[in-house]
Parts: sequence; structure tokens; C-alpha cells
Amino acid sequence: MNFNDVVLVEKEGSFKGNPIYEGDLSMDKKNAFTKNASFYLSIVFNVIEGMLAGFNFIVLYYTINALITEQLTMNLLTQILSLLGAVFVIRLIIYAFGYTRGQIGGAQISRILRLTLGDKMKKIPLSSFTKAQTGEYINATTTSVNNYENILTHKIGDIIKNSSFTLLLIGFISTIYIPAGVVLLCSGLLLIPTLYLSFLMVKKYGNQKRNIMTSNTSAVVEYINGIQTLRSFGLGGVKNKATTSSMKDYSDVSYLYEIKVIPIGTTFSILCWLSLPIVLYLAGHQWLEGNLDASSFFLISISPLFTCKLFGTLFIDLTSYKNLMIAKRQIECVIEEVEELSNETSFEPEQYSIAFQNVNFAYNQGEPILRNVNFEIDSSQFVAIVGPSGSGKSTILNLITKYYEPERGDILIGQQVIQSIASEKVLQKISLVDQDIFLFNDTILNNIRYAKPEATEQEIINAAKEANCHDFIEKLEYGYDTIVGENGNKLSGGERQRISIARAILKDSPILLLDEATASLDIENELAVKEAIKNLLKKKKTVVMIAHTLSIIKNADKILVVNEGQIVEEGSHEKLIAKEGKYAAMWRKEHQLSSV
Amino acid sequence: MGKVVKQNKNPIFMLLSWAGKDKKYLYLSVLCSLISGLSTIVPYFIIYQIIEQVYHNNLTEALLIQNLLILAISIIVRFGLFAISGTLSHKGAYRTLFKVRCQVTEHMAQVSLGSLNERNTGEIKTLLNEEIEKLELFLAHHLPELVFYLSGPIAVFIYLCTVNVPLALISFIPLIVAVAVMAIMFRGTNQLMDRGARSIANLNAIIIEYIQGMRLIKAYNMSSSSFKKFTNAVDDEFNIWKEMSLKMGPPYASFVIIIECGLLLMVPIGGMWFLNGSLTGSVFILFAFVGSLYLTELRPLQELGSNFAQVLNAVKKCVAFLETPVFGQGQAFPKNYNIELRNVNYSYDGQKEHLKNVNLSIAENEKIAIVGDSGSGKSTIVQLISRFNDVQQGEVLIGNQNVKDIDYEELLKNITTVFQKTFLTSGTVFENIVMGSNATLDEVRTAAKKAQIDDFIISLPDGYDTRVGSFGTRFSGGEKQRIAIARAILKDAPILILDEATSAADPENQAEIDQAIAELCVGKTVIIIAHRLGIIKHCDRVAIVENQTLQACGTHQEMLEENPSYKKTWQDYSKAREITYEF
Repeated sequence: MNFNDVVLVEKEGSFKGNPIYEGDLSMDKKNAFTKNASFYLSIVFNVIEGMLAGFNFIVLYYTINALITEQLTMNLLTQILSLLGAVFVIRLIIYAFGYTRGQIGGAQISRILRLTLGDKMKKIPLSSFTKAQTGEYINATTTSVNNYENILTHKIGDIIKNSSFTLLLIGFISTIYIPAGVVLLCSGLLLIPTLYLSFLMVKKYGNQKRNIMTSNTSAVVEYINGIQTLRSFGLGGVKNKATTSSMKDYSDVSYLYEIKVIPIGTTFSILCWLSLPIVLYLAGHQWLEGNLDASSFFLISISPLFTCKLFGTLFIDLTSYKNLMIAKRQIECVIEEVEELSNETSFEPEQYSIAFQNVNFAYNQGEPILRNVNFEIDSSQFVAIVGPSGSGKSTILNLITKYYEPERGDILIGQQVIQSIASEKVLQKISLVDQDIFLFNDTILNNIRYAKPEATEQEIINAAKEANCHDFIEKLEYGYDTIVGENGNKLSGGERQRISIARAILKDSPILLLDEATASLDIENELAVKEAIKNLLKKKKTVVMIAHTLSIIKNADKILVVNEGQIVEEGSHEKLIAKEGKYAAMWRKEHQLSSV
Repeated sequence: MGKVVKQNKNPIFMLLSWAGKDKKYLYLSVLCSLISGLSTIVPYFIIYQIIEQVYHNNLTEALLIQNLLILAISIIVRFGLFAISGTLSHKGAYRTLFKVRCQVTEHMAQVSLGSLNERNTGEIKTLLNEEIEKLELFLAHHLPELVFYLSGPIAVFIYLCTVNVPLALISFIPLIVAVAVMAIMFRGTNQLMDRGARSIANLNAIIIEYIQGMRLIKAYNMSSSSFKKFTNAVDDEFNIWKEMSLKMGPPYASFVIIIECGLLLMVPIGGMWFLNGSLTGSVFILFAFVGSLYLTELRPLQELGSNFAQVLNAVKKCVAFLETPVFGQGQAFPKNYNIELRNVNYSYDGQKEHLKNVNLSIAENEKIAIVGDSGSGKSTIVQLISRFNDVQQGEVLIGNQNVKDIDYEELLKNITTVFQKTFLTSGTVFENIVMGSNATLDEVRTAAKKAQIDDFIISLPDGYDTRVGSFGTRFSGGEKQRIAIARAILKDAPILILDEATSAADPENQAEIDQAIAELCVGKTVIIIAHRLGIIKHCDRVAIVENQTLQACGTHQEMLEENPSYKKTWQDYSKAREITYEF
């Protein structure tokens, strides 16, 4: 599966406006982590270079040997010079090439991983995109991929190179004098218990550290967030003390972590390096007894210098390897997410009634928000939903938009159960205007245009006029071509509201879901927003509106009164007043207020 | 301004001065790593010693053992001291970080409230959490490690110079070449690295937008075009990284190879001089062996450079924050609570004028509403009363005393501000209302009853002992606000500033909130930033702020008649109240 040729091609029979790629990008775990030619090449070159590094070792041996046996000649020196020179040049080329290939190979792997994750995001059901989850997805795509690539490019090659080189060296030394080889091997085997202990300590104290870090961060953040309030109550200094003690805890636990972890590496290094005097003693003894010639003795003596250093590097690299596995796991978690059932069921209802049948739903287990909710909304009917905060009103909208799925029960639009229909198809027919407005880092014109890609510029401007945006847009420096910044951070809350309404006006979908509190979030522009909403209602369509004041929706075709997750009353305003129930009580309370 | 003492602003010096008494740990750590670094060369010399003795055929068992004992001890010293160095450096580092952080938080408790607005607090958060953390890397790792890696090779070089200067200098050549190569590489690639950094920032922003906007992407069927934007960003980043690798990879890699090529110079040249008699065999061995390998100990230094710039940056930011002026002590709070702004001109940043020529008199116990569009300056006027910032021109007076002369803590104690966004600590509801005072539960309940929130609190599972931290998000906006009002009632300060953006999303509690506010305003001088204009009817006067100045001030009726823009605002407001939705 090759991402190099991603082309948007309209496949025969694909749902209109939703092209399917040439070759469906359904990456599974294995494919996503495929290594590429560059990467393998770099490892091979890395190993070759490592072996060539051994040349230094051999040349040194021959030189000392020649010196000791008095065979050193100019000729020999010239040979050595040319040999070393050649090897030097070759090593330079190979390592430079291998290192660069490694960087590029690693970057290619990151690229594939990110594209895989991006593709996967499209397929995950919307109910998974809660705030916490989106944070995890973002972390996986940015931090985890970075960590994975870093460790992969820098450490894996080194691990392979160093392990193979040390094994070869130990093997070679053993052919000269086995006990030396054995000692070196043992010093390497010390890695096993060391790594084990190290992982244990890191896990235990790392967790402690992480926990304290989290609570410290929240203490600090609370202090900073509330500093103005705290100081206006004279609590600046006192609260500061609490914050200070929290920071001290963090400082202490960080230090504790180091104390626990440092000795392990130190002990290992000492024991490992003690192989040097041991080997020197054994080999020296052999030389003293005439069983070993001087040059071999020399060779054996310097080998621990190499092996100890390499074992030390291996210790660090293998510790990093663990982090690689952690990053990999984080990425895999996302790739393994359950996908929305893709299906080709078409969704072109003839009318847009909405019905809830025995719908039950909870965001968290054991805390039901909706219990056995039943209601029917006729096509092109204007229905208002009212009730105390927390009663479940917004949840009803979230279920219609398929942002969440009911635990039990059915939701029907146009008498078709929407559970098994792809969310894009359902959302095509719906406009949602609520307090959550997302703008893309693009021009205002484009941000509105997304609602109806084929709209002309005039249509967009008309929609903006109806939504009372046109005036403030024209006042901006670049007008409709102004870039709105990340999530529209260059616009005020009220302005973003109205752009959201402009989108809904432009899209003109058969169903409109609206939380009318949006009007009151920006009191200054309340009238402008309310009139924009009125314009939204110019054309008849199925409207479900969450209302927070009753007088504003008293002319709705039907009013649903929600309380504690159930529909307790329904009917027209007059009917509900006559009923003298919850609605009537709410109405009376609302009108107790003098006109404020 | 008073005398400005010229301090040595060198970042390293600042860092050490913040370390204070804990400096000793850092110094000791460097000392240990120095000795440890020096002991890295012992193995080379012991082996050289032994080989020389073999060469001259005078190695004995006793000599062997003697050498090896020294070697073993040096190994223990090397790693033991290195561990101690690491322990000390971490101790010194974490303590220093703690001290710096304390300085920042303490300073926050003393600066003007105006310098603690949202943008600045965001920066302070980054400073405390991320920037200061970078200092740890430098103090605990880079500093001792730099000393460690450098000390050995430098000592060897010096020693080699005492033996044979030309050869010693030649042995140094590989390092010079390697460093030169790196320098040339860095010089030519600044622009490229900038592009790389921008590309990564862009990629991250697009990834975040793609994932956070997924619901909208699905709603508008933008999956394919959004994905295309995503893939383009990924590809861009890859292409720049590829370009960077091709340009910078080879020189970076060559550093490693070049410092390992000492043998290439030592053996031929040393051998030649040996053959023509200018060098003894022992010296030749020394240089061929030790002289060719000692530079390889420098390899880890290649990666140490990049963090340093960030550390300097972090220190600079700390210094900048710690230098923001403190509003200090002064006189007691005056007995009268009338407020006056005289000819006030104010600019937050020294460039744009945020307030011009403001004159306003508020009598004791008066209730005045301030209205105006966002950006008109109304919030600023109100903030200046509680001395969020100092005015550039004119005076702000309370009880006929300039606020600059009043003790800042006293000032804050005698003014209550109820902000738009209620801040609750993670403590209990009781603690949140009491806010550090000695009030009893009865007093708290009385205040809560007036704030119309006592019933709600009693209905909670733990009543007044309910911890907000775990429950906090489940309070509605209106409930949080009434807790804030209860606080304010309990505090009972003579001047009240109320930013009245009571949550419109909680209209079923609107009656309670209005009642609570009415209770709160009793017997105080009240300034209300009015959002819902209805509240103006409960005030004595209304002040209209427009275009960074006070346009008019008078009773509601007077303003309706005299000020056309107020009239329009009022009409819009009433109109908005009367709207009903229908097809």
C-alpha cells in the first residue's frame, strides 16, 4: 500500500460528493509500521561502518606487533597509511550515506504513520471524539510519532551495530585466549539483570513522579487561574504557601527518582569495567608464563576498552528501546479503534420527521441521562425543547446528529432508523447551531462556503447578510478574505455565532437543530443574533430548538418539556398552560421577574 | 523613579544567584565530574604502562598487580564520583528550580492585578511549567557532562605536549577539522532550519485542527478536502526534513568519523619518526595508542549544543517577569467611599490610548451602571478603580485619596470584585465562600441565604463540605455565580464592582440571581458593568462609555432623552426581549 500515489478519484457508484480513493486505504497495524528501503539500507550501512571501525583496532595491533617484533619498516608504514586512508574515506562515505538514509527512512516512516492515522480518523465514529479522546488522538499523531521516529532512527541502528560488533570482537578474542572472551561475555551479560532492575525502578518511581507532577501542575494552574480572585480576598500569600509546598513535593520526588535510578547504572558500569583489570591480569599472567606473545597480549588488553564502552551505550539504547515500544503502543491504540460500520445504505428520505423510540443513553456508565425517551416530531414542524439545565436537552440533539449513539432504542428520521446509516449522510441533512463553534484557519468566505461548496460568492454574501454578519465582515481589513486564525481566535464570540448561523442559512438543510442560548452569550449583539435566527426560520423545515426562556418559543408548534432525562409533558403552549403542570410553573416563575 | 541599580544581567550569573545556598551542590557536582573525567584516562595510561613494560621486558607479577589495583580503584572512583556528581547536580538543579518557581509565584502575589490578565497568566503558566524545566537539563546534565567529557581529553593533550609537542599538536588535528566541518555546516543552513521549524509548527496546527474539527468535517462532508490539507502538510514536512537531512546529515555524520581517524596521522608520522630515530619506541606506542584514541571521548559533546540557547531564553523570560513592578505599601484605606476619576488618560501598552479624558464622580453608596460596546473602555475604567494598573495621566481617588497612596493590600481588601467568570478553588464549598476569613458556619449560611444558594448547597451530598474539585464542573453557571455572590456578601467590603454578565444559559435561576445581587448591593458603593440593560433600572445613574471616553452620565431617563446611541441600545435590548420564534 503506497501513499505516494494518493489520488482523489471519483469511483463508480461512490456516494455523491464523497469520493473513495483509488485503492481503499484500510491500513492495518502491520502495514502502518512498514519499514522502507532507506531504513534497512541505513542499518546495513551502519553495521558495515561499525565493522570497518574494527580496522583501527587491527591496524593498531599490527603496528604494535611490528614494533615489538622489530619488523617496522617504511614500506609497512606506507601500506598502513594507504590502508587507513582508504578505510577512512570508505567509512566517511558509508556512514554519511547511512546516517542520512536513516534520517530520511525514519521520516518516511513517520509520514506513513501520520497518513495512516489521518485516514483512520475519518473512519472512527464521531462518538469517540470526546474532549479526552481527541487529546489522545492528537498526542498519538504528534508526540508518539515523533518519539517513535527519533528512537527508531537513532537507536535501532546503533543497537544492531554495537551488538554485532561486540559479539564479533568477543568471538575474535576468544580465538586467541578463551578466558578473556568469557570474561568479556560475562560483563555483557550483566546487562540483563541491570536492565531488569532499571525498568522496575523507572516504573515504580516514574509513576510516583508522574502522579505528583500531575497534582503539582493542577495546584499551580489553580493558583495562576485564580490569582486575581485570590488576591482580592487577600489570599495571595496564603495560597502561595500551599502552592509552594506542592512545588517542594515535586522537587523532592524528582530528586528521589534520580537517587533510585542512578546507582543501578553506576553499579553496572563498575562491574562491567572491572573486566578490564581482570582480563589484563589473566592475559598478563599468560604472558609472564610465556603462553602468550606480546602482540596478542596487547590486542587482548585493549579489547575491554571497546566492549565496556559499547556495553554502556547498549544500556542506554536498550532503555530507550522501551520508550519506543511505549510510543508504538500509543499509536497502535488509535489504529486499532473500532471503525464506523461503513455501508452503502442510501439516505434520501421523502420527509423529515424525527422520532425517538424508547431511547436510553448515558455518557458515563451508571449515570443515565436519557431514560426511555419517546417522542415524535412531524416533518417541517417547529418543536421547542425546554427544561432545567442538566435534564438532557443537548443530549437529544447530540443523538440526532449521531455525535453519540443510544444505548437502547431507535432514532428515526423520515421513518428510517439512522443507527446503521453513515454519519456523513445523516449530517448532510442537518444544520446544527449551538454553543460549540469550530472555525477553520481559513478565510471567512471559505468558512461559510464549507456549508455548500458549490455556492456562488453572491449566495454566500446573501447568507451573511441574513445572518447579520455582513456589516462586521466588511469592517475587517480584508473583508471576506480575512483569515480567522486558529479556531477563529481573531473573531469575538458573537461574531463566530453569526458565522455559524450564516453557514446554516447557506446550507438550507431540511433539518435545523438549534440551541437558542447562543443568542444570549453575547448580550451586546443579542438582537443581531436573534434576528439572524429568525431569518433561519424563514423557510419551513423540521426545527428542533432548545430554549432557555419560555416566552421566546411560545409560538412553537409543539413544546417538549424534559426533566431528569424524560419527557414529562408535551403540547402547544396553550395546552401546557392549561395543564397546570411543570411548564405552567416554569412559565409563572419566568414572569415573576420584572422586565429585566 | 528611584535609583536603578545596574545588575549583572548575564543569564548564567542570574541562574547562580537564584541558586543561592544550593550553589554549593552545583559546584561540588562539577568538581566531582572533573575528577571523574580525569580518571577516564587512567585505563589508557595503565595499559600503555603495561605494554611499555612488556616492550622493555620488565613486567613482573608484582608490577602487574600494582597497575591493576590502581586501575580498579580508578574505575570505582570514576563511576562512583560520576554518580555522586549526578546526584549532587540533580539536587542542586531541583532545588534551584524550586527557588526560581517560588520567586515567580511570590512575585505574582505582589504585582498589579492588571499584569495578571489572561494572556499574561498563560505566559506565566508556560514559564513555570515548561521554560523553567529546561533549566534542569542544563544544570543537572549539561553542565557536569560538559566538564566530564572535556577534562579527560584536555588532560591527555596537556600530557602529550609534555612528551612531544609536534606529535601532540598533530594528534589534535582531527578535532579541529571536525569542528570546522560542523561550523561550516551550521553557517549555511540557518534559513533551512527556520523553514523546518515553521513546517513542523504548521503541521502540528493542522493536525490539531483536523482532529478537533472532525465533527464539522463530517457535517460538511469535507472529509476528502480536509484530508488533502492534512496530507499536504505531512508531505511538506517530510520534504523539508528530507532536504535538511541531505544537506546536514553528511557533515553531522562526518564529525564522528573524523575524530576517530587519529590513527591515520599517528601511525605513519610517529612510525616515520621512530624509524629515523627521533622517537623512542615507548613514545611511539604512547601516541599510536593513546594519542589516536583519546579524542573519541569527545563524541557525546556533539549533541550538547542545541539546548543552550533555549536555557538562555528561559532565564531571560524569568528575569523579565521578576522585574514587573510591584504595587506596594501605603496608607490606610480612607473612611469615605466616594470615588472619583479626574482627567484620566490610560494606555495599556504605551501605544494605543485606551482611555482619554475620563472624568467621573461617584458618591458614597451610589449605584452606578457602566455601559458601552466591547472595546469601548468600560471594563478599563472599572479596573482602574481597584488599581489594576496605574494611569499615565490624571488621578483615581477613593475617599479623596489617590489610590496610588493607599496600601495595595488594604485597597484590595476594601473593594470586592465579582468577575464575569467565577473562580472556585478545589476546596470545599464552605472554604470557597469563607475565602480565608474566620467566619463561622452560621455567618456563611446567612450570606448564602441572601445569595439564594443555601438551599442548593444543603441539597448537595456533603452540604457545605462538598469538595468543589470533584464536583466543580457540575455546578451550573448560575450556581457558581451565586457562590461568588455569597463570598462577596460575607466579605462585606464597602465598594463593590460587579461585572454583571450573569449567565444567560441559566435563566431558570435568573430570579434568584437578581435577588442575590440586590442583597449584595445593600449599603455599598456599587459599580456595575451592565450587560443586561435591565439592571440599569435598579441603579441611580448610568455612565455611557464610547470610543475610549465617557460620553455622558445621568439617570436612565435623562440618558434616553439626551444620548441617541444609548437610546438605540436600549431599544435594541427591549426589542430582543420581545422576540418570539415562529415560522
